[in-house]
Amino acid sequence: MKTTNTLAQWIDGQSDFPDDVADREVYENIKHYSAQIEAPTLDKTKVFENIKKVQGSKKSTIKPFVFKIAAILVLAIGLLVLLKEFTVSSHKTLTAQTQSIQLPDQSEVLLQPGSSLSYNQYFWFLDREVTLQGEAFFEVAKGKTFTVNTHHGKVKVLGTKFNVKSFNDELHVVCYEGRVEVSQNNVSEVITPNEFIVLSGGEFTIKDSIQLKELPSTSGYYQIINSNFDTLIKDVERYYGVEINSKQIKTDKNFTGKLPKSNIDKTLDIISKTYQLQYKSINENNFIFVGDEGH
Amino acid sequence: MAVKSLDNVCQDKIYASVFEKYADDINRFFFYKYGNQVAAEEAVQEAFIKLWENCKTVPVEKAKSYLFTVANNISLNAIKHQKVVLKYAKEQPQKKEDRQDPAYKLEEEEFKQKLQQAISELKPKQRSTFLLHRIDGKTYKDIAEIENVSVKAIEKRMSQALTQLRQHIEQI
Repeated sequence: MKTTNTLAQWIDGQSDFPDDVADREVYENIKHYSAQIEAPTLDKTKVFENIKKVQGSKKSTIKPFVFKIAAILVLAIGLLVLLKEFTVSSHKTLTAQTQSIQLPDQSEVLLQPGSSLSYNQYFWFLDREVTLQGEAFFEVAKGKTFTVNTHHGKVKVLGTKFNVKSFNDELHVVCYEGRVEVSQNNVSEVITPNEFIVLSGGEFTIKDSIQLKELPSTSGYYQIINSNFDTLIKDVERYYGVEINSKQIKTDKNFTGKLPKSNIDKTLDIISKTYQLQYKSINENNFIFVGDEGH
Repeated sequence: MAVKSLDNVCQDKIYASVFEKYADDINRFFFYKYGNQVAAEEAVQEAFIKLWENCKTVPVEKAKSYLFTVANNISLNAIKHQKVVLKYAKEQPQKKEDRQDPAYKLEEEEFKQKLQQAISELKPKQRSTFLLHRIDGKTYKDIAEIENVSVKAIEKRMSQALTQLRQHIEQI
């Protein structure tokens, strides 16, 4: 028991280094360098403000507080029930994560990685309307107009299957079934099955057709359509939850094709072949693209 | 009686000064233990909110130990343990001023990295004791008060931490 604390006394400057302990050099180094570590910093102003807020909300604590608490509890529970029933319901996916969502009218949504979707359950039957950030595939049940709001414009349908992708400054819509109307301010376009359209900077930049064989909801692939290289890389990062350094690559060739879900190696192979690149894995989630030799 | 009411933590000024005095300490203590900055900040918040709620029963001189007791009791189930990531302060003097050659510098950097990793592998109790002493320069008595154990127990944790660190460093 006596000897166990000698090291503690030494590092505290109370005694010399114990004779019976080996590796003095290592201990000396530990002592020296550990003192150079930086302490964490605390944003005191912010924390203090938070505390003040809580204080403010708790200030009125007078005697019959049991009744007050009971009343507040009843109210809170009531409100929670109301909130749960009637307010906006939202869903969010992280990278490499997808989510299947069933809307109140049995319409199905496949929310793709790195995206979020919200809608108001209460008003659902007055207005079939969802707000989307990112990418989702919709299989809409027949009925009244169904609207997808995005940062870049609206997508309106009656009952169809379509994919919406809204990232950065582009809105990309693909129609799998039925008719889809894409609009922003006063411009609008209609696309039919096997057509896609791109809305960029307030204008429709591309409208073209493509052979679509599988629905995103049942396919084992991510369908990429007419995407430039940078957008493609961002999609891959989101779909697979990886980081890719492609700073060295300059290309204006667009990509159309299918990328196997949950197989990042194959995906990188496909991209490498298409663009004649080499890739190197730094670790499991980190990759770097370089030009092929001679490029 | 009059003195007691003067020293009431419920008074805004006194409360603010207690916060100013101990917020950093609690933050560091919690961070050293669990390596989670967000959780540390929440622990500070929670401890001070509890102090406020009980300000009438906690005299100023007991505020510190009250705060650390609350922080110590915060349910650890709720905390997602993170790897403790520590940084070295920049521009530190070298251990041997006369050695400026790259080989020595490289060796020094390597040791610092190993030490960092070894610290992150310590048990939470050992780590908080070690870092409170090494970074914050707390005495064993201070740390004993913070951790609510005896000085002997803290010395033991320190010795164990040192032995563990040496072993980890040699294994890396």
